[in-house]
Amino acid sequence: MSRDGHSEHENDPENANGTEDEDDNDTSSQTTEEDPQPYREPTPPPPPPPPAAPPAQQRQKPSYKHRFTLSGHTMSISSVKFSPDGKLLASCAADKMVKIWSTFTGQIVRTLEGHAEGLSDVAWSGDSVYLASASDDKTIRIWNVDLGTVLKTLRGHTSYVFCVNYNPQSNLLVSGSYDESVRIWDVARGKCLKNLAAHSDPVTAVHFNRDGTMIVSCSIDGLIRIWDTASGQCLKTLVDDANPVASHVKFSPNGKYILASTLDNTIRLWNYHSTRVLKTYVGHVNTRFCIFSCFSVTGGKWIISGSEDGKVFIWDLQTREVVQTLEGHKDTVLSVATHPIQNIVASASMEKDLTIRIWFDTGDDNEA
Amino acid sequence: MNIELLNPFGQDFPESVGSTLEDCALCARFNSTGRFVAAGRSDGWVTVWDLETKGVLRSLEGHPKAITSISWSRNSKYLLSTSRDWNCVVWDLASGDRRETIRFDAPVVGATFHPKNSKLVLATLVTHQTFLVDLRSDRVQRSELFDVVPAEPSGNDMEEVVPRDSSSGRPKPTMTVARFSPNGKNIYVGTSQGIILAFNARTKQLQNRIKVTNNSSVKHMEFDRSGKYVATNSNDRVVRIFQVNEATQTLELLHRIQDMVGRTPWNGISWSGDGEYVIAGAAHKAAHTIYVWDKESGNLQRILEGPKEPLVDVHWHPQRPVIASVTTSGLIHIWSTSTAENWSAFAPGFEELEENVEYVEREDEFDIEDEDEILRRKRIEEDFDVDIGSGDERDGPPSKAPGRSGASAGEVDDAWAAEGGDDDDEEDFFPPVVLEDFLEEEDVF
Repeated sequence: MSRDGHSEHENDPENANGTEDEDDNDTSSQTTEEDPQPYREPTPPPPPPPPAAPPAQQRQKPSYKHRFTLSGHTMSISSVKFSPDGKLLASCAADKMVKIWSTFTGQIVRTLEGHAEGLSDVAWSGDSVYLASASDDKTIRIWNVDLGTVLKTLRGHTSYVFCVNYNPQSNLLVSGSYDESVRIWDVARGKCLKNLAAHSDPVTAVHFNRDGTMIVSCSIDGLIRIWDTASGQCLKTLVDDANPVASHVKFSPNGKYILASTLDNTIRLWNYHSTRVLKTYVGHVNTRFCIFSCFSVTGGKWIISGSEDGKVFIWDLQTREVVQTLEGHKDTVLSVATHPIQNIVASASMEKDLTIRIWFDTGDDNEA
Repeated sequence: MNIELLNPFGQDFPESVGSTLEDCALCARFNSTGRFVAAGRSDGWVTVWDLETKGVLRSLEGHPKAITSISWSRNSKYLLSTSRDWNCVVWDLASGDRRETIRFDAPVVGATFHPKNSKLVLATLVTHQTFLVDLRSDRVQRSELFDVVPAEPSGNDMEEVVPRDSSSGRPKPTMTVARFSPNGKNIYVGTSQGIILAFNARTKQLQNRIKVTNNSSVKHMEFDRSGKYVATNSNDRVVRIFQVNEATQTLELLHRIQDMVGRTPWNGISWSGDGEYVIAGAAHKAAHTIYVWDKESGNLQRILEGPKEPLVDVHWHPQRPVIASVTTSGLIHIWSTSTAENWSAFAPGFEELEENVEYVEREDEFDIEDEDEILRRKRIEEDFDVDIGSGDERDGPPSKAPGRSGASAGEVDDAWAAEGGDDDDEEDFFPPVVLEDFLEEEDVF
C-alpha cells in the first residue's frame, strides 16, 4: 500500500522508534532530539503577515495563495511531481492510478492505469516525455505520458517499491523498496544493473545528485547512505545521534548538501563532506509518515514540507524560521512539490481530503 | 561530483578488462565527460555506447566504407567521423541526424574538432594533405596547410631536402597526422619525414618545423589535457614524450621510449586523464597488451595483458582510471580498477585500521553538557548562510576553464575561434534516451 497505507507495515518500526526516542530523552543524551520540543507546543505558528511588496528579488517572505484544487483520486495521494518543463503535474495514489494534470489550468489531462496495487512514488524523465511509477505490486512502470502507454515494466524488487527517481541524464532509474534494497535500472533495456543491499529496513527515499554520479538513500533504519553510481560502492553514511527514522532525503540543487526529513518532527540540511548538520528546520508535525520535503529556488530560497497537521510549511533556508504555512488540506499533507521555473507549489493529502492543491506566489498581490 | 568522496589512494591505472562492448569497431573514443564511447566500425556505422548501462545509445548510419577516426566536440553534442569513403560527417547527437558532410578528393585518415568550436575541423587525407575546414558561414571553407620550404635559413636546422611536387613546385605533401593544441590556438602536424610542423590555427601560417625522428613517419600524436606535453608514435617503433612550449611552439624531448628487446611497434597512444601516464597498445600478433609509462620518469609502470586478440586502438578515459582498447575483431574492452568495498563508509565515524590501536579516551568524551548550552551553540553554528544553488549552474571540468593565460596575441586567436558562435554549448550534453513505443506484453513471466 502506498505511503499512508504503510502505517500498517510501518507500525513496528515506528513504534520501535517512538520508544527509542523516549529512551533517548530519558537518558538525556546530547542529541538534537531536544530541538523540536520547545517548538512543538506552539505548533501552529501565526501565519506571517505579508510584507509590503518589496522588489521580487529582495522579498523576505513568500506569499503563496491557493489557486486550484484538483480532485479525482479515490485513495490517499502519495506523491506529486512537476514535469521538468513545468507544464504538467503528475500525481499517484493508493488507488493504483497515476493522474496527469495541467499546471496552469488545474485540468486533468490523463489517467494512467495498469498497476495491480497502490502507488507510492512517481518520477519524470528529464525531457518530460516519460514517467516512472513505483508500486506495491513490486514493479516500476515507465509510461509514455503523451500516449498513456506502458513502455517498460521493471521487475526485480521482492516487495513494495516505495521510491523512484531518474538520474539527470535519464538513462538510469534508482528505486528503493520494502525489500530493503536499492536498485539501479537501465531505462533503455528495462534491466536491473545493480542491486545494492543498502539498508536493514525499508528504503524510504532515493535521489541522484546533479551530475548523476552519486545516489543518496535513506531508510526506516535511520541511516542516510551515499553511493557511487558507477561502482555501487557505499561512499558515506550519515546518521543523527538519536538515530531517528529517516523518512525522506534529497540532494540540494547544486549537489553539495543533503536535505533529510526524520520522524522526530525535524528536517536537517547536512554537509555530507564534513558530516555536519548545517541547518535544522522544525515546527511541523512528522512522526508517522514519509513526507516529502523540497527546496524552493525559483524565488527566495525556501525549504518546503508537508505536515501531519494538514499544513504545508515553508521555512527560510538561511534563518530556519517558518515564513509561511499553507492551510486548507483536511488531512496529513504527504507530498509537496516545487515548480522548476515559477513560484508554484503543489501539495497533496490523504483519505479525509483526497485533493491536490496548487499554490501560486505571484509576488505582486501582497496587499490584496 | 563524487570525486571528493572516492578513495584518493585508489589505484590510478586499471588492471583488468572489466567489461566488453560487442561491436565491430576499428577505433573507439571517450567523450570529454567519459560517459560515452563512440566506436567507428568497419561497416561504416558509428555507434555511441553509454558506459553506465553498457548499451548502445545511438547507431549512426551514413558512411558506406570503414570509419578511420572519431572525434567528439567539446560538450559531446556533435560527433565527427571520417571514412575511407572520402567523407567527414558531423553528427548531431540530439537528433541522431547529420549536421554536415565534408567531402574530400581522397579517403580521409583522420579528423578532429577544434577544442573550442565544433565548426572548425582539421582533416588529414590519405594523400598526406591536411585541411582546416571552417564551417561557419561567410568564411573561406577550406584551407590547406602547406609546409613552406624555407628560402633562407630562418634559424631552424632544416638542412634536409623537402620533397617537391614536380608539377606545381609546391612541397610534396607529407602530412600524416594533425592535432589542435588543447587551447585551440595552434595546429601540430606530424609528417612522413619525421618532422612536426607547428601552425597558427587562425593564420594557418607555419610557425616552426621540428625534427623529431630520423625520417621515420609520425603515426600518432596526442596531447595531454593541459597541452603541456605531447606524445608521438612513429614508424621507428619509438614513443617520444615532449614538453611543449606554446609561446615559441617548440618541443623539448623528455623521454624516448621503446621496447629494446621485442622491438614492439605501437598501435595507438593515449594519455591518462591526469596526464601522469602515457599508454601505448602493443601491435603484437597474438596478444592484447597495453604498456603504461610514467610521464615524469619515462619508466615502464605496468604491462596490462588482456585476452588473446591483437589490439588496434587504445584510449584512456578523461577522468577515471579506465581504458578502452579495440581488438582486431572489433570488440571494445573496457579496462577498469577493481573496487574494494570500503566498509568504513557503512557506519559514520568508522575507519579501517591496519593493526590494533589502543583507544585513548578524550578528556571530555563522557562529560554531560548543559543541553541549553548545546542548543544555543547549535543555533549560532547554524546561522551561517549556505549556498544550495539554483539547479541551473554547472561546474564544468577544470579543462574547460577559459584559457585566459595566453598573451594578447593568444586572445586574438581565442576570439577567432569563438567567432560565429557554437551551438555545442550545453555542458555535459546527454542525448535523450529513446524508448521504443510499443505496448509491452503483460506479465511475460
